[in-house]
Amino acid sequence: MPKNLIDLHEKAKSYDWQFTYAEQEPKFASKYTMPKKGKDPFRTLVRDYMKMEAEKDDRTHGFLDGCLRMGMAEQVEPRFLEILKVTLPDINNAEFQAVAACGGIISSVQNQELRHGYLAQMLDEIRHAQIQLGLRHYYVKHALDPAGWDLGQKALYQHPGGLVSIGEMYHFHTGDPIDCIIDLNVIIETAFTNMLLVATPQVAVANGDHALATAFLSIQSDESRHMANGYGTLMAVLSDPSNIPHVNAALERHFWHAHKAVDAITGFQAEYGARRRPWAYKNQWQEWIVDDFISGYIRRLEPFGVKPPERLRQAAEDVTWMQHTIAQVMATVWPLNFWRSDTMEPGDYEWFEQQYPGWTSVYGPFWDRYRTMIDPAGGHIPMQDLPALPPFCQVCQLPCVLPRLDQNQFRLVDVGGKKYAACSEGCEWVLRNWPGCYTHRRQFWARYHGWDLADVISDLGYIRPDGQTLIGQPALNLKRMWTIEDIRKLQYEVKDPLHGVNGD
Amino acid sequence: MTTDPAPAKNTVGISLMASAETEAAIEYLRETAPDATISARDCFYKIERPELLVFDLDAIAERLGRPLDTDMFLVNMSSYYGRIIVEPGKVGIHAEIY
Repeated sequence: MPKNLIDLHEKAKSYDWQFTYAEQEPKFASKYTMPKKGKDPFRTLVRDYMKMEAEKDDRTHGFLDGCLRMGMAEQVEPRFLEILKVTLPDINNAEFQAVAACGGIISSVQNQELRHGYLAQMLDEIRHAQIQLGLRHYYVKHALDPAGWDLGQKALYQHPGGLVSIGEMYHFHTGDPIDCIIDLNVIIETAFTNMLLVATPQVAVANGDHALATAFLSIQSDESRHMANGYGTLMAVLSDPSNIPHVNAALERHFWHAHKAVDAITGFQAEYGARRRPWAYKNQWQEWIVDDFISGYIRRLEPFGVKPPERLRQAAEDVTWMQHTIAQVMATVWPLNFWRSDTMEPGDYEWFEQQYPGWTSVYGPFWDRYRTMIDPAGGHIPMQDLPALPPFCQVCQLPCVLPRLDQNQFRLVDVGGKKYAACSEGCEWVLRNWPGCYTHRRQFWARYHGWDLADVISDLGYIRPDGQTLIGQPALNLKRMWTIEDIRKLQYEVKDPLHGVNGD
Repeated sequence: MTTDPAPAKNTVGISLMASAETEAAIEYLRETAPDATISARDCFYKIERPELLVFDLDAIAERLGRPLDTDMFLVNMSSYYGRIIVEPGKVGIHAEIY
């Protein structure tokens, strides 16, 4: 029996077979040709994999026990924990969808070496979901305000932010399996998870959440192998020149969509969930996305025919403003949230202005006005200040006010005689080229058109155990929290901004 | 004429979460690859170098004071860019993409 890792890996790959008693019919056909041989740079073997993952789990769960002994949940900046109520279930959704993705890939990709890598990845994704559920269990039992943590996934999937998450993450397993790999392994896991799972832990530490930092860094250690799965698959399909146009189209499409969906939530978490900010999101984006992913990886694939995304420059410009606008929208619709928003204070203004010159003139008046509306005795909410609710983009599901309200790129797009909202030129391009993937999606506002806001909140179930007090609040440490009766007194009717555009 | 927002580069990089193994790896790199850029980021280190990063696990184990194999080294690796090659006792990250 060979003892060397390289020999063992070669031997393991030889245990392959083809179906002889039935036709293999993957759920989604692929337009790519796939050679039988591929490369797994990690040479993953199940035996070694289990040893490594057991060590990771021992370390991560051991640290969580240490956090309990040291009472660390109480030392976390409350603002940081509140936004985690939405971002952690969002990430959990990504893991669930990635599990499904690996199943589809394993059954579709006729390449034994790559299958080995994706088998380990599937187990990884389950591990990640379990770690994140462990973290949520820790927070629901030990965070100062557990309301919202107890609803988790159910709350997310009803919230507009959840639709952003679903809209992006379902691409992991829906459609051509190689397109799915380009989205999941190449775009999300090689580029964007670095922002979320490596850079964000530094923000967590700065705000007292060492549990999150430890869990995320451990999760990302698995993502490293997933990057290699993406690399191995990409190099395999690039060996056939007929695949190159498909690769470039998938890179363009999924880079844009991932930028919208992931930057919105990661930028929001990192800058508006923090009281102490170790870095500015736009600078981290330049480092991890532009310098490392594009310059250090994608550009080096140019001799194989790969092109960097044409909309890279636009995406880089977007992250100067979009996370601030997302925070503005999230605060404006605070009654519809399952976490407490926080006000921005002079110390926040100073940091934002320093990092993003011009921030104060664009966003300062909003936050000044916002602070005047936090007391329920005032009987006014920011939604009442709006001339209309913002439509949600049919592709990325983000509000069509990006990158910022006064520079928004909203457009109505005619597809098959029906009009759809798009937030940007990039999303319009995606919608026009892959209409069947997006036109069926229903919008949040359409679901509740004509409803009283209090009834919407009741329907969503975002109410605390007393049956009266809302989970969402416009500030931390209010003398009295808002109740469902406070909202009902406003007589605010939700109006779908797209109602009637298609004669409905 | 506009400048290229992301020209190709020949550096490689790795992110190692803060740990005893990582501290030993950094000690090893400071001796064997003094041109590597090592950036401490509270809970992890980001290490970058032109063309190549090599981690000899026996040499790192000597500094750590206990055995260290590939799997245990990878427990600490949160991310990388470049082309990684995992071999018995050695992890390398290469700028050459194929």
